[in-house]
Amino acid sequence: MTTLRIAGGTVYDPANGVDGAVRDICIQDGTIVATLPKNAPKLDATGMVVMPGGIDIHAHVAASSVNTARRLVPEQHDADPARAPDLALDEDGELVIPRSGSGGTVPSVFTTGYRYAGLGYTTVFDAAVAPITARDTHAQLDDTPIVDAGCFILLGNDAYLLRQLAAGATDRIQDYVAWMLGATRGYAVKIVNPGGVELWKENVREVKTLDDPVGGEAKVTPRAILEALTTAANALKLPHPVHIHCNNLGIPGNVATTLDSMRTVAGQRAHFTHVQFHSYAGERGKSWASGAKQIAEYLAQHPETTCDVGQVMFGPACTITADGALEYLLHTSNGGKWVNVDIELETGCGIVPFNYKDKSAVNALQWVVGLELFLLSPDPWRVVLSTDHPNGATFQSYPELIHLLMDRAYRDEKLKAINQKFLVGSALADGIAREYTLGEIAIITRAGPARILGLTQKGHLGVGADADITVYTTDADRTKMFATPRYVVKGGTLVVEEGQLRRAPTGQRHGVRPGYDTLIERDVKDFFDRYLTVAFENYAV
Amino acid sequence: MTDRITITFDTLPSGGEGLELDGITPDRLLTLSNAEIAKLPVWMGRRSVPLGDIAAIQGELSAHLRFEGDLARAEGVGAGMASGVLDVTGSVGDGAGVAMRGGSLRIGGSAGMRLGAALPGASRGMLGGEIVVTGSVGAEAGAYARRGLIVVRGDVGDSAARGLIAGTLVVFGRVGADAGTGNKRGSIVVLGSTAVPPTYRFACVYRPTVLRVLFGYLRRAYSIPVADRFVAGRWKRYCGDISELGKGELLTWAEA
Repeated sequence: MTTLRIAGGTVYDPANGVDGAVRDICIQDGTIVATLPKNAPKLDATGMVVMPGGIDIHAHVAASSVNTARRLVPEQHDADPARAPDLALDEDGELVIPRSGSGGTVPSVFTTGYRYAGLGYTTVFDAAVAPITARDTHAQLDDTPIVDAGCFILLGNDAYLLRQLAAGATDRIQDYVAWMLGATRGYAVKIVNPGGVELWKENVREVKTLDDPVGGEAKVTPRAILEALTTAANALKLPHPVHIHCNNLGIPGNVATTLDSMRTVAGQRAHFTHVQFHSYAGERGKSWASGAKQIAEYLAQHPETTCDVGQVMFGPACTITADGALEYLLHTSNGGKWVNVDIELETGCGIVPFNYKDKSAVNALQWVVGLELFLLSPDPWRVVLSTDHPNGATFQSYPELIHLLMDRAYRDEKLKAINQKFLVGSALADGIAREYTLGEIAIITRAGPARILGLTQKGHLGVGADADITVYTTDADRTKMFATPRYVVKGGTLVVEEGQLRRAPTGQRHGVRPGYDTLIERDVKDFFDRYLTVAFENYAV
Repeated sequence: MTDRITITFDTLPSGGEGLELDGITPDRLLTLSNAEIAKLPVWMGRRSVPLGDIAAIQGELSAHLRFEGDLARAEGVGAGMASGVLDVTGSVGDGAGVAMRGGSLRIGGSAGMRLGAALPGASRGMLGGEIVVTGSVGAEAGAYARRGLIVVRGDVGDSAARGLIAGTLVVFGRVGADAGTGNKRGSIVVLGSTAVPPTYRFACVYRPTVLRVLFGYLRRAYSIPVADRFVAGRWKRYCGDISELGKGELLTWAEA
């Protein structure tokens, strides 16, 4: 029996209504318990800030696309070699072999795990996995130490699903979704640019409305895809039903598309991801402006709708998405390296390494729109932190993002230095006084993502929760404070000690296996036999 | 403080491992004592060894670094250097001066592939500085250079100055196939012979003032005996790569 008492820290546990109270957190065998004997091992956290471990609701860390991105940026690996951490013996006296790797915007697998843990993050979800490549994702996650992880399965442009919609066989969709999530060991349904990736494969580069027919079928539209998958996922009572990346990402005026998508699934649980990239007013080819206010107004009226921001931070990033059409646009804008992949009948993929510049008018607007979404947010529980790592910025920029949210003077200073062209009339340029409190930061980085993801064991420090805990040394420089936690506990194991990564246990996997009518397998097998490169029998992970 | 730091490398066992010397540059050694230099790690095959174990080091605290001894299998000599002078008495291996940013790299012998080129995958290579090679060099010399000057007194291999952004490559000898493909606005100057790539267009024959300035500089700064017929002569100018931006140039000597 291993025990540990984190004593005397200032605890932020918003899920249990604790906002900066001094108390002890007791851990026994990886779980938080009410009390421990007085002589239990103790970690003195007096004067320090104690929060649950961070949870990243949307990142690209382990997918075949991420591996392709790694191959695309060898020069970043050269510039950021990652030494193997100096690991101590684990609790059983065994040495877990430490691994060297490479960093940059798309770190190697082991380095990804080490760096997340070093930042106080203990759970990460990979946001875009093509079903046929799920095996690759799980192999990569097996080599991503410390963090608990799961993945979202791309279904918004899936040929079998689109066929069912065309045939009006919507009753089959729920069974197909359930079978697919089980077969791929996925956690949630991901929809990327519904219908738009399929249209991109037909060389149609723009989704004008949610009622554009896909593949010449009147019944198959972005709206029909959103409705069908959201309904199916909610009916299956998934912990995290649908994770939606809307159409027209990164295009001025797309806030109309985003609001239309939100209304389409209104009344049902749905999560809209990296909404920053989908909250632009203005008009294509003419003007750009912030649409963050409209999104905030919608969210205020719809408690069933949640989102993560997908903040852009200035500096190098690597855009990785299933939205191949978008990546083509991005490539034509920066002329840089570009990868486009057609993932047979399921989805697409595009990758473009990108550098966000504060001197660029569009990039500056993106930065502002993200911050506005946070600062105008009606409810921190439903507008949570992400940078869509590594699309808007890498996860290593979270501390600086937290600093921007908590410190108005720091934020206004940065705001002055950026390109002002498209900022006229934006709420942030007019001045927003709001500063996030430590309690609110604990919501947008821990408690909120846990609730949205339906993770009852995580994101809080109540009795019975997983002992994933981060302890920070209080510092007015929030970038520094959040970049270097003093202690990190993962599943009861002390992984970061005095700011040094010392242990690297294996994390757990989160997946769902909903029930379904097995008759669907016969139909799917028939489809596989006709059209797929992989046999039905070999498909499931 | 001494006039110069001289590092004399031991002869490598034949057929054995190569050396990687990309960290050993004058800008990095500038503030190090002799003992600190000896402790710097270098890769020898799969092993990291202290520099002092494979070379004798004389001098300290100088911006002028000299390499002596057998470096024919040493990779990355002067790679990434930012300032100072690195002169090498003999020949070097692949990747010398890769991603160089400033300073002067002088190679007394020949060099391998990717002289002054980009790191694999990088969109930009050399950003500044000067490289002068007495002998010949391998393929991809000066690839993706954005600035800087590379002078090769012998021949260069295939794909020289591939993807050149805005640097300058001067070749006294022969140039291999496909020189300057993807050239945006860089200059390739050939005193010897070259095939003109199909994506370059003939522009004119003229006496470029810039070459008089350049050759004057090479005579003064590097004591290179450039014959008068090149300095005062007429040159053919080809524009390219017209499948890219097309603002680059290939200059070949026409007549005295």
